[in-house]
Amino acid sequence: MRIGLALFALALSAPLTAFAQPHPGAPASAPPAAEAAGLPFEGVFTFGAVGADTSDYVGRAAEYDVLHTDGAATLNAQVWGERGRTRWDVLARHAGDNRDQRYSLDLHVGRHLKALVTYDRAPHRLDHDPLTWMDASSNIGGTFVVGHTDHDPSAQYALTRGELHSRLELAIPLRRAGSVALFASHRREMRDGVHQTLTTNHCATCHTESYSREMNQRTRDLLSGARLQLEPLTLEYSFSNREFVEKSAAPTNVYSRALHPATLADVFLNRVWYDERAGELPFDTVPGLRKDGHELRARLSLPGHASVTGTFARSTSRNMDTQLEVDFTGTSGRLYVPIGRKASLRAAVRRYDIEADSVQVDVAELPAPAGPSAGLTYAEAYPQLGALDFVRESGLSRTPTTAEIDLVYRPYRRTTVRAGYEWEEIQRDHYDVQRTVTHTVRGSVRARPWKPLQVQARAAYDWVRDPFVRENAAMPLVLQPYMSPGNVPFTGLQYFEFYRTRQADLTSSPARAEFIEHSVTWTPTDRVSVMGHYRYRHAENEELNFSQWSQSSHVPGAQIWIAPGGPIQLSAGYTYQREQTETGFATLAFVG
Amino acid sequence: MDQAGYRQNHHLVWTNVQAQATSRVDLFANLVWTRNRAAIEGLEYEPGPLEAQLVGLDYRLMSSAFSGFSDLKIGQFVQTAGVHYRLSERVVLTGTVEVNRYDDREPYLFDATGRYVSFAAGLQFVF
Repeated sequence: MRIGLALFALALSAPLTAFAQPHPGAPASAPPAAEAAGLPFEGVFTFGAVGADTSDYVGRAAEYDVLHTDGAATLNAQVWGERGRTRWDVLARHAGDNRDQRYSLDLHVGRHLKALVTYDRAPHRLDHDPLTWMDASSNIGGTFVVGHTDHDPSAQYALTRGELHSRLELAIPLRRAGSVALFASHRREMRDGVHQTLTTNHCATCHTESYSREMNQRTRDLLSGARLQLEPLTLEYSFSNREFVEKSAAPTNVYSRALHPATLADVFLNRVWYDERAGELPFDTVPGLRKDGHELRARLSLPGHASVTGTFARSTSRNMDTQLEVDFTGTSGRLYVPIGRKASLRAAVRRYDIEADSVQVDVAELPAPAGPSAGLTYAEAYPQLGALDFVRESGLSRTPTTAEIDLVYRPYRRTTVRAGYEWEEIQRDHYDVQRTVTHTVRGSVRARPWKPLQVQARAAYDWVRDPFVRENAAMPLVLQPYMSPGNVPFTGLQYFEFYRTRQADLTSSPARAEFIEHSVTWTPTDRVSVMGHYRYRHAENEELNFSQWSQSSHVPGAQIWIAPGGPIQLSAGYTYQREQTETGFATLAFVG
Repeated sequence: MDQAGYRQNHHLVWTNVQAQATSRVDLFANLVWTRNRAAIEGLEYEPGPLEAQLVGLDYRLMSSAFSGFSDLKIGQFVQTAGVHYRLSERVVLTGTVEVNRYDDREPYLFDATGRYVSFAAGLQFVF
């Protein structure tokens, strides 16, 4: 029988892993596996109990755990075996709560049939923001305050994630050297629970309202296809379908009246899309999704152990509420050519196109009920605003193309040197920056200059022309450095007028980036191993007109493993990470 | 326009020990300790060319206090220890204790500090 698998199963079935709390580091030693006389299977059963004591808030300490403060029984069973050409593995684990379970069945019948079914459930605790931190008032009177209402203050939020996955593959040998395989898989993901959802009033007080929102989400993935292997050619086609639905209704809220926050005058309705007068309105809506895809793969073996592969994929994703679609069409190819006995060349190209639907946005234009603009919409009160309705073109629509080449050279045994170059172009249909080009050079080395010493290092450098940037994102011209006449919002400069004069470009995409990583492993004996590593990344963009963006990270670390003798093993490690980001900063009324 | 920064520091230490104390007894223990800090730096609310302070705003207070609202200081400590006792070749008795402590030393939206101790015991049959 399979002694190695038996030992692994024993370690896996120990209470350390059979119960809800994850417990890494269980010892590998276990009782010797027993061969059941005359039975074609082996197994391990574990019966146990768990308990816990908690203090204060455990939503972070036990974010993915079920804590049994009243105690609970647990069960873990694993059975495996083979008979003739049939092999199977069965696992069942119940950790004392329906939210923490795992089951699986793995079946092989000869070389022709493979079946796998798994079911998992695991919990996830979620935070409840009390919102008390946001309550504040201003010294200018009226209702100019920031406040909150929690409609379910004692709620404890959590969700349970479950996944049922099954896959079946049937291989049919052909008379010539080759085979046909048919495969199908089904995956169903379930997310159930309750989480906190927030919404905020505008143009009156800044009033945030919290509700409990039920979650009853279902995702279903279907995949089916066929693979033909007829040397030197392999062809594979697959069709995929995904459907997502949120079965729970969206919450609703009645928003506050759009009043002037200091005077409480009912004069701001023409500046908002809706307020209290629109009644209950839904928010935190989760649309359904459907995605259909086709993928074709091919691989051709060439003389001299060379090979070429290619793929073609096409998919359509649709928002089932708005019927908006995103189409994806992509192709890729890869070539591998050995050069003598010590080198090889790898080249690849990839191009894909994403087309997302545009949306006509008809802005609700409501007349002000009172004040200097009484009876007028905002556009009528301020004609220089122009038309409000617009077509939203999608920034998702783009066409990236990449081409890369790598040379791998092995000058000595256990030494590999790699050098490569990559070119990437992104063309965008509807965006400020229509074309971004990135050049990347990269290299790596892996070597064992001395038997107990192994070293690895790699580095890459990017040059980016016209990186992704939001043009005119901040810093308007100072057109009115004093209070509006009469200290009222109707006279003087309007928000849209100074927003239109924004000058500063902002981004979090670099124009230059460098990456370095290296590690050293020293194994002086078969009882000691020491490893040190360091990773550095720096990215910056100094091409912005009024600011700079940069980001740097350093990650050094070390690990040691010792087996000093006898049945003792020790291991330890330390990792440090330091990351710093610099960016231009702008807020409303402060160059915002 | 002003420059502002965000800095993060993270430390992670872990240890693990496994030992066969006797022919029937296996012991194991492991520990994970983390310390995490994050803060906004260099945040300045400069009025620029504005002639007077806007009503309701305090530039000096905002510059000195606002960036601190996002500071994070979090530490976590997880200690696990356990034993396997082999009653026979086919039967094993097991026990495990875990201590998990999460320290929120600079609460952001609310104090997320908490702790739990969990216990597990079991009987394992091999066939």
